[in-house]
Amino acid sequence: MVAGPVSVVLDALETDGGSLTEVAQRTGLRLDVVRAAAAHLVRLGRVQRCELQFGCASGARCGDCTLACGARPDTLGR
Amino acid sequence: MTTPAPLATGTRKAAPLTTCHCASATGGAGEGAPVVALIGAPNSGKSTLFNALTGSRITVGNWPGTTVEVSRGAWQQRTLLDLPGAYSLDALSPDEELTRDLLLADDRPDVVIVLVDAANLARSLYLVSQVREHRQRVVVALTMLDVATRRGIEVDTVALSDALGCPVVALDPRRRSGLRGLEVAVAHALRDDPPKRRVHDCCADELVKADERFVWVAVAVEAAADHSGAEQLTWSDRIDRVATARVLGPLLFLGVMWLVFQVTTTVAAPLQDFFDSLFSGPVTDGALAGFAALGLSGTWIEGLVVDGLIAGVGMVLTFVPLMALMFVLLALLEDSGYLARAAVVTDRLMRAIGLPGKAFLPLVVGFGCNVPAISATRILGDGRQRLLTALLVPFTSCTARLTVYVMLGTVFFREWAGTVVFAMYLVSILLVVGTGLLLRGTLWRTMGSEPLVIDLPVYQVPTLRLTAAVTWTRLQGFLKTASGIIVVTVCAVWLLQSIPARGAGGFGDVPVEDSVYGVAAQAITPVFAPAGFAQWQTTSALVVGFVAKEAVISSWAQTYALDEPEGDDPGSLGERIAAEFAQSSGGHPIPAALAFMVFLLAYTPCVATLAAQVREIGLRWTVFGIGLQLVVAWTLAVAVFQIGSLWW
Repeated sequence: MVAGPVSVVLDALETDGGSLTEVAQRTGLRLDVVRAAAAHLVRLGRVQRCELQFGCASGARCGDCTLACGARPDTLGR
Repeated sequence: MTTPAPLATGTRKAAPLTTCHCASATGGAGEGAPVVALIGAPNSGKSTLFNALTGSRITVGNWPGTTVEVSRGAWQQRTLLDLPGAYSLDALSPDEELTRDLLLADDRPDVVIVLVDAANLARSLYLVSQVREHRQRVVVALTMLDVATRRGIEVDTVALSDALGCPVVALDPRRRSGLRGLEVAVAHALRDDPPKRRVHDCCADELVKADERFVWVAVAVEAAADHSGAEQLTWSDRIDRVATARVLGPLLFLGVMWLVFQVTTTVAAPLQDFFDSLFSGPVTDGALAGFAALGLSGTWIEGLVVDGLIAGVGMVLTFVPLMALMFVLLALLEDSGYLARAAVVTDRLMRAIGLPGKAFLPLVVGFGCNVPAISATRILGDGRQRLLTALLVPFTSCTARLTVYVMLGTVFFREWAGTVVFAMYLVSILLVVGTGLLLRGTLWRTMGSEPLVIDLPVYQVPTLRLTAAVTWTRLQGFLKTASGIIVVTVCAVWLLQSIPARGAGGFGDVPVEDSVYGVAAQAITPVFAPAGFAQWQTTSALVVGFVAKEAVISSWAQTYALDEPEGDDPGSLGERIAAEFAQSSGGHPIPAALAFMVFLLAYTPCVATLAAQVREIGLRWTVFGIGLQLVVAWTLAVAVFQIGSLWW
């Protein structure tokens, strides 16, 4: 049986990772389908999601953190 | 009978109810009226549509036995229920559980209207695929068509209806267009029997079921949506074809970082020389003149201010131009979006060696400062992953160590200083990888790791305002450190250098090698003989670096300011350090300098980092980490010197 989009995306993320655009290019799936499958995998707990932002995720302003992972807004108001 | 649930202000009081059709008894269209349920993802426009259809004739209240709010209203002699938002019927929250339970109950709604986002068709249709697995009358309300059109996506509602096996109505709840079509579709649905269920394997595991549903969704999207006008690959995506490529990506990243270090060390060097001359010249001369005028020449106060604060803190401040330039370049890379690509490159590397994917984030943070990096390990869900990552963070080369690299790079390697500094960061990455593999292969063999989806920001032209703001914030942090802990450290070092441990000198009047500071340093110096830098002035700086890495330079400046060479020429700090390395290494100063830099990179981080580690992973593992760092640092430093001295 041919693997469905969810399995294909999971396999691609497990083996090579990268952005969803890269996964779409590697697997030949449409980008919107890859995004939907990835979102579902996050819901299933099979994959973690990281929305990169700059500045501190905790809202501090020491300026030492280059990157943070989370949904909070950038402290510099971008 | 249960107590009526709390209601929103201005609405009618609702009687208790337990099923969808009980809702008709009050707050709806009356007993016996058909029940229509609105479902869809959160923020899909359900409430907007609900309000458009029902007007002010609504009742809001908690569903009995739950804390979930459900709105009920009357719509054309039907009861309309606005159920909580749900991405799928595989509930992850009480809201989604209620939606699922009501839809699948025996006394289920007569018609279900599923809101589908035309701009995110594949994702939205998953819910439809699940609802269609049950004998249920379904009408799809297709929204966000204007957004889809702007993105170059055209949806054929007739083709979509054929593919889904249920009516599809295009509408815009905000502009109230398409509502008549929805009414007609619901009226027809109510007259007809529920359609046949979509065939599926109800006993398969969740991944197989999800696959089957998405195949069905993909077929429907392919049949009904035309994406030819959509820009599938943005220009950001095109750049990322190189920036995140498997081989080119890391090479490009290393090349960019080398350029940053090269530009920084080259451009900032003249400015550093200027500030160095300023502090060692007019500022020192002015202070000496001032103390002479006050009759305090030769006192411990003069010693503290001139040989301690001015020499120590002043030396660190000469790095302000270099740090400012580095912060500007990093801010430009951040704001452009390029630095986020480093996350993809690093994640891939982490995964290739079996480390947890999300571990890249604390490690990247560690290249700024190890303290928040230790705290950032909290994002890892697994305790063993947090522990492993927290043990690796100290091997990331923080910006505090950078000042020492630059100084030694400039003294020993001149125009190659930028390349040598860049090499130290490469060594840092190799240390993280190597130590990670070692720990993973010994202590944590069975540790798994979840794959990661990284949402990258779009590339953009950096803005001057933001770059300036980020640079100033970071520079403030650097200056705050210089004016805070370095001042304290300078005072502490001065004190230790003033207290006699042997010889005839009194407080403040003792040769530095006979002070408590000097004698203590001399006691541990022999350990570093195999590494080529067994001079007490250098080993004492490493001890001071345990407090703060920035203080390594200030302690050198203090030590050599007191330990004046014979003759009239006081010699610059760099020249003094170079001479000492040449002597202690037996004529091999370059490998000795490299060995020192490697030791500085790998040995115990500052006290603040250790405190953070104790907080996150406990004292026992922190002590283990200290032992690991010292062993790795000494071993590598000895190896670098012994091998390097064969050539230089």
